[in-house]
Amino acid sequence: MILAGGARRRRPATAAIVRGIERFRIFILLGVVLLAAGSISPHLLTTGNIRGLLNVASTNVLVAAGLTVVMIAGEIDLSVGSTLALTGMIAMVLEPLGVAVAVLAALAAGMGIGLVNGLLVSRLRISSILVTIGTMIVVKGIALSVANGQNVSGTDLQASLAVQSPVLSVLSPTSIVAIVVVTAFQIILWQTVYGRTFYVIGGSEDRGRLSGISTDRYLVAAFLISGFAAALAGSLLSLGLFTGSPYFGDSTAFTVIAGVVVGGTSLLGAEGSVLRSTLGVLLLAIVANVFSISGVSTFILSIVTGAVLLAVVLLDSYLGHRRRRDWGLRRITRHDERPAAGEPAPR
Amino acid sequence: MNPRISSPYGRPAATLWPNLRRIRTGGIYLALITLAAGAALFVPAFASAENITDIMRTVAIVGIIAAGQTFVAIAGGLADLSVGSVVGLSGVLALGMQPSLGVAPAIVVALVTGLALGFTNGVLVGRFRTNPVVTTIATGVVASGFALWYTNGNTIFGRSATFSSFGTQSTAGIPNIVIALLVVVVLAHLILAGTAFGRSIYATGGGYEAARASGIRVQRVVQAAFVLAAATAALAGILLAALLAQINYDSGANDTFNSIAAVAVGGTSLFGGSGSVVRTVAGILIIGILDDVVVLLGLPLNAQVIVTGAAILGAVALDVWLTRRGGA
Repeated sequence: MILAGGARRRRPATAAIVRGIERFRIFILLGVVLLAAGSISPHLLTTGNIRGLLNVASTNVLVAAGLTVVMIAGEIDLSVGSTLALTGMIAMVLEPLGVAVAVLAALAAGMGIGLVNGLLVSRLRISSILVTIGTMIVVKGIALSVANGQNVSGTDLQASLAVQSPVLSVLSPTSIVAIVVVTAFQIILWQTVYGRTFYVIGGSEDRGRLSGISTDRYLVAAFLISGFAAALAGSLLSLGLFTGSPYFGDSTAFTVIAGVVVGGTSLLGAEGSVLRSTLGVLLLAIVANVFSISGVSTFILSIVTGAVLLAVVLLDSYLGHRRRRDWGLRRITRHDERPAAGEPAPR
Repeated sequence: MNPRISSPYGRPAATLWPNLRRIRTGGIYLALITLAAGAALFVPAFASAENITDIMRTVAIVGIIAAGQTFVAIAGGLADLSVGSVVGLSGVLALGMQPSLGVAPAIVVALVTGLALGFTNGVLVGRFRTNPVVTTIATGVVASGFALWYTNGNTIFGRSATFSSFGTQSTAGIPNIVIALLVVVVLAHLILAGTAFGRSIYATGGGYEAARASGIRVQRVVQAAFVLAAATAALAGILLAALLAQINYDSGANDTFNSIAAVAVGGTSLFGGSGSVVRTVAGILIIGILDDVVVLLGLPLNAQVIVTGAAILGAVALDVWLTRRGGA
């Protein structure tokens, strides 16, 4: 491809720089954004603001951690927003029975949704975009039915406050859970055979299957993990806000996918990490935060968010990030479309 | 693309296969007819001219957007996630500019703005080959932000009676917006099925490198697909503004997923190379009929949401099942 060829022709020093930028892109971006944001608003780095920022960002970070596993496996999960809303409502309905029961029930529901997604994608081989658009709508409908479109409030305000109040300097239980989950996912994906396998099937499902991997099981596992993470995010969010709403998570899928891709996880699969996704989501959260505390209009915020996203995708294509691949999509060459040996290529 | 041209081994295809293949590719129409017949039999108020008109009127706006979305999907651009924002932006411009500019110039401004956004998407995805999902999320965010700034978050009300009456009235018994849907669909179908440009969209989506190698200007094809998607979205926004006589910056919020759902239910591959606008129309009708039946049966609106989602899963599963049985 043209871009890859261009990269190869560069002088070694330049090539090394380009590789460096490519590799540490999200860290560089985050540094630049932090510097810019910090100079725009000195409020950004106050303890109170960091605590609030982490609490708010934890929801999307958790969702992104699960979604990253699905995306590394080469699929996508658009139902995370609805899952977040439904599990939040379940948690609030069961909250009178105790926080533990509420969270466990929410997790079970989230994993149930993940199981349905995973089975439909792996057994029926339906594109995950379609499957998860379908479950997204169904789950949203169920979330609307829970309280007839109304919000559900909790009963124990003290327990709710505890979920987001600081226990360890700036860290609240919510952000600690997010950090633990991200760390655990990162270690599993990078250090274990089980985790590495997601990269294998994301690169090529066929190759994965041919090398003896039960790809179906891994696909189901990926969606289970995504459902689990979204449910954790949903229950913690609702418990922390003392409210479950069917409209929570309406824009979650978009924001999280944007953050994950900004972090450098590929929509094509086989590339990325939970840590990078976390940083990508944090980056967008910092941008939103600095604009809200400095009182700039949402118009400017949306322009800047859009510009950051566009800058990242342009940088990606400039650096030939997707070399050897078609843009944004995994191409599957069907055997019957390939000319047989000795046959002229079809015109 | 055409299954009858060659079989996997270059031998002439066996005589039985083409017929079976035709059945499998027609699965979506079979589903639509079954659904319509079932509804007509079991739901009393369904089979009236009034109700059918109602369904058509309800699906018209999303149908117009979905027709444009079909181009993006077939070209292999996955989906344009900015259409909902384009609907909102062009809608608020079409209504908001009327007092100062007059009706016709306001419509032109709305259309041009939509086209400019589509052009931006097209250049980024087509020329710079950026990721279509993130690119269109980004332009959507910008468009929504602009609409929010323009309206200050307020609802804009229509002041022109002629403009509103175009959206609400009928010609020869058919609502004007349904006529608009039919015109868009027929045009889109003619472009896709009957022109060299249309064939090059299929070729680009079916195999990007192959299409490029055979001399198709793939970058322009992708670019044009995104411009067409934005154009239909802008048109839909203007019609929505005329229909409701009021509009919000986020009036098109649900249109993005609904239009993708229509394309997907119709059986057009979101990965490019196959599908048609007629399929998309079948998809939107299936969703529309199901929504209508839920309302006629007096089920709560929440059930409508669940049924729509289940219908998407069902139609997709049926399509997959028939494709497998057809021996693809």
